Amino acid sequence: MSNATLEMADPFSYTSAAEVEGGAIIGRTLIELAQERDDIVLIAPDIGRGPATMPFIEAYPDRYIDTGIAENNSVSIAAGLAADGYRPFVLGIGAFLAPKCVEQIRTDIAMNRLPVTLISAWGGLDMGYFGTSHHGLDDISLLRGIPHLTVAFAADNTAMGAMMRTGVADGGPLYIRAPSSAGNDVYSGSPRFERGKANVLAQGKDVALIGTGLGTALCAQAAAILKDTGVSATVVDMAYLKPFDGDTVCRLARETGGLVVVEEHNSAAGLASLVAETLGRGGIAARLAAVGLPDDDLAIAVPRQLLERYGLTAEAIAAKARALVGRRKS
Amino acid sequence: MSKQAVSPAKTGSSRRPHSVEDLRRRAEWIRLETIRQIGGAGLGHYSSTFSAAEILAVLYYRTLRLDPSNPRWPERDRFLLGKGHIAVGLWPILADLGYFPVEWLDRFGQIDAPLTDHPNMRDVPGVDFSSGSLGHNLSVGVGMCMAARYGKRRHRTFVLLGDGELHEGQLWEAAMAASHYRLGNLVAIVDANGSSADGPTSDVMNIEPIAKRFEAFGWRSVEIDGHDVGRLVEVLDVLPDSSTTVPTAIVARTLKGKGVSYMEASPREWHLGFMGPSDRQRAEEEIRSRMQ
Repeated sequence: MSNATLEMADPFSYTSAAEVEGGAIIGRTLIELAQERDDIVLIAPDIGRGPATMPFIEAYPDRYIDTGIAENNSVSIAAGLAADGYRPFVLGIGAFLAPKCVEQIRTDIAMNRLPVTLISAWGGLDMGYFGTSHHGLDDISLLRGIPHLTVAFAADNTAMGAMMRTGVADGGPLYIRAPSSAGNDVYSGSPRFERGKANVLAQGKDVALIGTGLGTALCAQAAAILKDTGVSATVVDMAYLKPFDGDTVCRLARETGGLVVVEEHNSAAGLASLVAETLGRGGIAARLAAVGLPDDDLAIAVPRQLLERYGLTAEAIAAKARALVGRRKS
Repeated sequence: MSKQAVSPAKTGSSRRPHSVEDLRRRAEWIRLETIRQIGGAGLGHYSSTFSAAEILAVLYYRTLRLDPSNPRWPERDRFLLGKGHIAVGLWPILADLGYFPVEWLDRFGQIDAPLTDHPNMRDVPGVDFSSGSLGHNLSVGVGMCMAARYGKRRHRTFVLLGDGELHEGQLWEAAMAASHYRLGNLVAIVDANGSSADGPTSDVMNIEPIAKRFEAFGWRSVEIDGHDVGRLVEVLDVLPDSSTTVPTAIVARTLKGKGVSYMEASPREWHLGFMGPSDRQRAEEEIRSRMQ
C-alpha cells in the first residue's frame, strides 16, 4: 500500500488493517481453492486490485475476468461459465451487487441453480462515508425471495473462508456478505458451517442474542457485558439467512422467552423480520427486540460513527437485553 | 413435406449438408409447426418466430456442430436464444433432431409441460441456457466463450438476438467485453425485424445503424437479408475460425410475420396471439403453397 493510500485511509476511524485482512481471507481462500481444483474463476467489475483480488490475479491471471464497471454483465458472464462447468466467484461492492444485479442473480444464476458464488465486499455501513448510495443495507430483503439461492453473512474472516469453501462443496447459487471492517473475531480454529444452519456460540438461559454478520460479533461482546451483570445470554450466529434456521429460533424462544436480533441491515426487512415471521408461524409468544438500521434516511459518516448513531454497539445491545429480561422478571 | 427427406444425419460433429432448397422448406415447416403448437396451447408468439424461421433452419440443419444423442457433448456449438419468446420455433427442430420425443410438441404451453413459451435449460435437452429476460444471453455467451478458451475447445457460441433487445444496456456491456477479451468464437445474429411492442423499433428508441454500432464496439459485422437462405448459408459457411480474435455480428434484416401475408401487413397485432380457424387455414395454405 502506498503512503498516499494510507493517508487516504487515515480519516476512517475503522482500522485499515481489518479491511486489509478482510480482503486477504477472500484472496487466500480463492488461491487455496484454485490449487485444489481447476474450475475456479474470479470475475470482478472494476473492484480494485487489493488483497481480495491480487494474489489470485498474480497466480492465475487467465482466470481473472475484469468486466469493468458493468455489474450486470459480470453476473451473467458467471452464469455462462457455470453452465459450462466452471465455478465462478463474482466479487462486487456491497452497495451495488445485490441492488443492481438482483435480476441477473434471480434469472441467470438461481433459476438455473448454477454454482456461482457472489461475494458482497464492503457491504453494510463499510462505505457509509461516501454517501447514501454506498450504504449496502438491503441485501437480505432483495435476495430472500429468490428460490434456490443461499444467502449468508460472514461474521468474521474465519467464517468467510469456511463459507466460501462450503459453497463450492455444495455447488449451488450462493451469496455471501463479507465480514464488516468494524467487526471483531468470533470464531477460532476450524468452525463448521452447514448450509441453512445457525451456529450457537454460547448457551445461556435468560435471553438469546441472535446476530448475523457484524451483528454476531456485537452479540458476543454484549453477552460478555451481560455476564458481568448476572445475565446469562445465548449467542447465536445466524450465518444463513436463506435457507433460514427457524427451528433454532423457535427453540431459543421457548428456552429464554426473549430474543434480541442484531443486524447491519434495514431492520424492517431483514433478520428481525425473518425471526418475527418464524415466531408467528410457529405460534410462539416471545419478546423481541430489534437492533439494526431504521427504514429511513440514514446519516453519512465513517462506519464507527454510524454504528454508534444507530445503536449497533455492544453496550446498546446489552441494554436492550437487560430491558427484555427485566420485563420478564417484573 | 416428407420428414424423412430432410431429416439430418445425426452424425454429431459433422456438418449436415442440406441444400438451400431443403433449408428453405425447413423454414416453412418451422412456421407450420409454430402454428400447430400455438393452436394447441391457445396463445403464442407468431410473428417474431416467423421472422427468424430461415435463421433457425440454416443454423440447426447446416451450421451448428451438434450431437443430439449427447446433448451435453463438450465440443458442441452452443446456441442461446436471446429472444427467448420464439422458443416455439425451436421446439420442432429439437424434437426432429431427436433431443426429446416429438409427442412433447403436442403439450406445448400446457401446465407442467417441458416445452414453454420461453426455453428452460433445466427442462429441455438441447437448450444450452434459459432465456426470457431480454439482454442477458449475450453476456452468458461471453461466459461460455471464456469457458471454451479455458478448455482449449474450438466450438462457437451463437446468440440469436432481437433488434428490440438491442435497447437493453447490458447487451452493450457484453458487446464491449466480447471484443475486449478477443472472443472470435462468439457469433451474434440479430433478427432485425424492425419491430418491438410499442412500434417500429427505431421509432421507439433508435438502434440504427446496428452493424456500425457493433463495429464501433470492436466486432466485425455483416448485413444480409435474413430470409435469403442462400445468403445465410454463404455467410455462416465461412465464419472465421473460432480461434480468431474478433467476434462476429450478423445483422439479418427480416420481416416480422414473414410468410403469412396478413401478418406481414400488421405484424405487431400478431406478436402475441391466437389464430381462429379461418386465419389458421389461410396461413397454412399460404405456407404450404410455397412448399410444393
